[in-house]
Amino acid sequence: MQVSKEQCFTDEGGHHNRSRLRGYWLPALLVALVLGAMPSGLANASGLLVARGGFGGRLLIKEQVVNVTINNGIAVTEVNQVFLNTESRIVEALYTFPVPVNASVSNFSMIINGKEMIGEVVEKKRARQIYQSYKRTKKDPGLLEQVDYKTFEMRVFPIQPHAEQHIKVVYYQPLDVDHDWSTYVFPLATSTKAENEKTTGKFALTLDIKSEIPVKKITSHSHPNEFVVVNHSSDYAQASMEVNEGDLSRDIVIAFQSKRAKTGIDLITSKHEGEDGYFLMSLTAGEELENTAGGMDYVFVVDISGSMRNDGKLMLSQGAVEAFVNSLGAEDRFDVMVFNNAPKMLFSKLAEVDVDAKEKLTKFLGEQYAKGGTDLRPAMNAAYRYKQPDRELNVVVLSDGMTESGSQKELLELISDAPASSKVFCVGIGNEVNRPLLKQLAQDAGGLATFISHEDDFIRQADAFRRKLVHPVATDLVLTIDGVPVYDMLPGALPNLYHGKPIRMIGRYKDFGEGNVTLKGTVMGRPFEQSVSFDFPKLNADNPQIDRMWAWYQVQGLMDQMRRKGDSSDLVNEIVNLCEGYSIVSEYASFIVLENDKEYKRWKIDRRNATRIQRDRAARKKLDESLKELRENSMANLGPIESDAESKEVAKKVSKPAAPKKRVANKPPQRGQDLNFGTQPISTAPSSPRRSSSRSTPSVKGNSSPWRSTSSSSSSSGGGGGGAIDPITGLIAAGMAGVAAARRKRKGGLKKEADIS
Amino acid sequence: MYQFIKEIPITLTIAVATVIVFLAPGFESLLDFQTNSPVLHQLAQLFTCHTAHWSFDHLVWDLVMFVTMGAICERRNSVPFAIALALSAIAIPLFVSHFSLDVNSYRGLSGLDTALFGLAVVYLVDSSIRERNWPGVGLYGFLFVGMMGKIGYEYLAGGTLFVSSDGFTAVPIAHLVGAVIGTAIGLFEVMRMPPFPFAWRNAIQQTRVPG
Repeated sequence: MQVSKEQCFTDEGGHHNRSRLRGYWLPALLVALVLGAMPSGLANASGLLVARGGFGGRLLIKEQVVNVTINNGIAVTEVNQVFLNTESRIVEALYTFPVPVNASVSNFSMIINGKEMIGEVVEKKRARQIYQSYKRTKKDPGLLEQVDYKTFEMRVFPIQPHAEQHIKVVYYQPLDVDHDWSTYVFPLATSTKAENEKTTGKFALTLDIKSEIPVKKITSHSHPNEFVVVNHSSDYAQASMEVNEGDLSRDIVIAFQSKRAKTGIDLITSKHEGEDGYFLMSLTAGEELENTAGGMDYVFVVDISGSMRNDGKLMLSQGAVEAFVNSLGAEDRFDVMVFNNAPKMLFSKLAEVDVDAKEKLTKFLGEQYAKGGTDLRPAMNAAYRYKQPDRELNVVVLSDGMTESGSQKELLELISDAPASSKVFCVGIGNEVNRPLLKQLAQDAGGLATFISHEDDFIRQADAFRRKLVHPVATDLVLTIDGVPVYDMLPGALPNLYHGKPIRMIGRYKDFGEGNVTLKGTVMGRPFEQSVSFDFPKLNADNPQIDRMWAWYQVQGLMDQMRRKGDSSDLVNEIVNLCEGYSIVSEYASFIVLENDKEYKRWKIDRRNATRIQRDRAARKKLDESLKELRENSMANLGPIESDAESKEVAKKVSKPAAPKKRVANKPPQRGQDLNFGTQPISTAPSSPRRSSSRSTPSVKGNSSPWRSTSSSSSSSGGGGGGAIDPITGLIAAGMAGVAAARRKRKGGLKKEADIS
Repeated sequence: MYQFIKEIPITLTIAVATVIVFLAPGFESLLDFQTNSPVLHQLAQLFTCHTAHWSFDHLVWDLVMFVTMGAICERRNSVPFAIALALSAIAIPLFVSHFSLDVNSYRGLSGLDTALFGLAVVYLVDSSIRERNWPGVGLYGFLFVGMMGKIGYEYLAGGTLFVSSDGFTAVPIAHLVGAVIGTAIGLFEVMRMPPFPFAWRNAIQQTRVPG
């Protein structure tokens, strides 16, 4: 159960209270006995629905239906759950689930007396007070809290004896794109989950993937046989699974590959009447940057502390290191270091990547056991000593990031002191990972963080990660927008651009009109500057998810500041204001669901989320309709393909031949604005623009790529065209004209000579 | 030079208009052929879309090809040249909008370039036959086959032959329509010109009979 031995005896702030501990020794003993009788790991049973009080019996998850819509990289997950109280008493249920990567919980609702009640976000302590007051009167409140960076807790009370309780949770998350692959993980596996956890009834997951960049492939490494995948069109695919007694012990991982994008900028906007707008801009490196750099040095720093023992995390990181080393090039060198309280090296020098080294690596990793504490500082100091002046050093940390919070600040300072030409890359292992810390470590050291789930294909992940390490990087990037006033844009300073890892920028804009976006930076050591223009619309109700994503990023930014500077009441207030304003659950604000509007009025809680939900659902309805249309178009193309002879035969048999059904061709999607970013010439012919209300239509303002080949041309894939004349054809034509002119001149000269003679 | 400029007024007028359109920001978006525009607007766009371009690089090679081919064709005979331009200007956007469902707007001189290329090849082959310049016939014929092969490749592969086509949709139908119209008008003209086919037949016969 979520209420662990430790949490039972902590105050609200989480500090140990020894006097209370002494006073509760008997119940503590009882609880310990009960917990001791449970399967190992249940003491902090994440993912279980537990009846609190009594002996803490478990409630059954009768049904779980998950609908996921991924619209241009933003996933909206709607989890519908039906719990069944198997006990003969009124219980309070506690359900805990791990926070998916970058998730922002935006809605929590319960079905009370057949009516859906939508929750509102209020400051955490106040939410708990309200919840407690209802609990005393045995009314229907629901409370969703973010316990820490990795866990959400859902408290539901009261659940009547043998009754069902319906719960709906919606969360948003921007999916990371990694070398054309986006991975969606529905996290189920946790270190504390009982084995063989199953639903008693239906367990279904449906994934709708809508993408402006065509979806080429969808795979599920975790459930390859359960999923049915249908590609309705090049920009819309659907994957679904439905089973009875669904296994809730394994993550569901689905990865989809989009057609490789050219280097370019995409823009999605959202704007409501009377409000400033929101925009989400992404900069993606394209294939033209895919040339390899020279050899580099790698030091893999593997966490073997006690926390890595849980849930096979150590084995997962061992496999990942081997996959990384196998993907290294002949010119690369590496060493591996394991650490808990102290580091231990494999070679104590940088070794060539050969068969002997790989065998030693396998043996070395196989000998390691997860034990002891986590002290990353000595390991990082040792790793930095591998830096050699003429080569780049990449330190790859594989850890769950479970460092004591007190040492996090020191660790961040250490990272910022990294030697020049060295980068730190963090690989988070498992679902229970300190994502914010690992991300921040990597970001501060000019590197990247990636996360490997239990059911993920980590060989693919390692390969993609390795490719990012060696591919050219655009550095010193500065993006400015003129023409439309923008503000509160995140991130403040753009990180380096890696191949296969887009940079996302989110911000707000005033007014509307054409905005001129200028990108400056250094690509492969040469200066780069280019401007493109986008339309920032007056109104756009298609993407309300961006509003919340913006607020969520702001909250994450403030949390980063708190990790650097320590707690500050000003920052906390700012976070609470944002969370309440945009209905986002965080460590400082919780969702609470009350029985009716009157109760919300009584507690003076504004129904802001109810308004947002209406907007979200209207946009969702519109999207659903467009997806339905795409599905129908796709289905219209199914059926037997008649040959001409067969058609004629059929036509003869019927007196009045029916008009043939027009097969509807789904138009392929178009991207945003391409940039001429690389050394290779890019297309001379632009493609057609899609005049969609949900996407801004770009137009080229100019191209100032400094090393543009004479044969190259910048293109706007946002527009159409008949395919331009390429340089070869142009030169052939010019040559042809030259030959014709020369002959004509020669002919004229001969004629003149003949006339003279 | 002045004489040369005087000989190709249509080519130069269109070339100058194209450059002006490119230099006037925001103007191009009104001119390109859009499948969702009102019908009357589309009628005007049939002619204006060819002068609009997406970028400087898109413009440069289209314009180089247009001026070169225009100089060859217009100097030879401005009437079939104007007819080829007018017909292909109308036909190309209509074919593109009808057959290339993924393209909902069209810009560029490339379709007209291909029409003029077809017309020029017919002229040059005709001249070469009359002059019994058989290497010239072979060269121009080879270039024409090469152009058709390039269009065929674009059609089959969905990309371009000489440059990277990632990230955009190749529309070979525009080039195909242009090439067919230009070649057809060229053939129609040379076939009507006396003493065709006698000049061709005589040229061929004289070559077969050893001196």
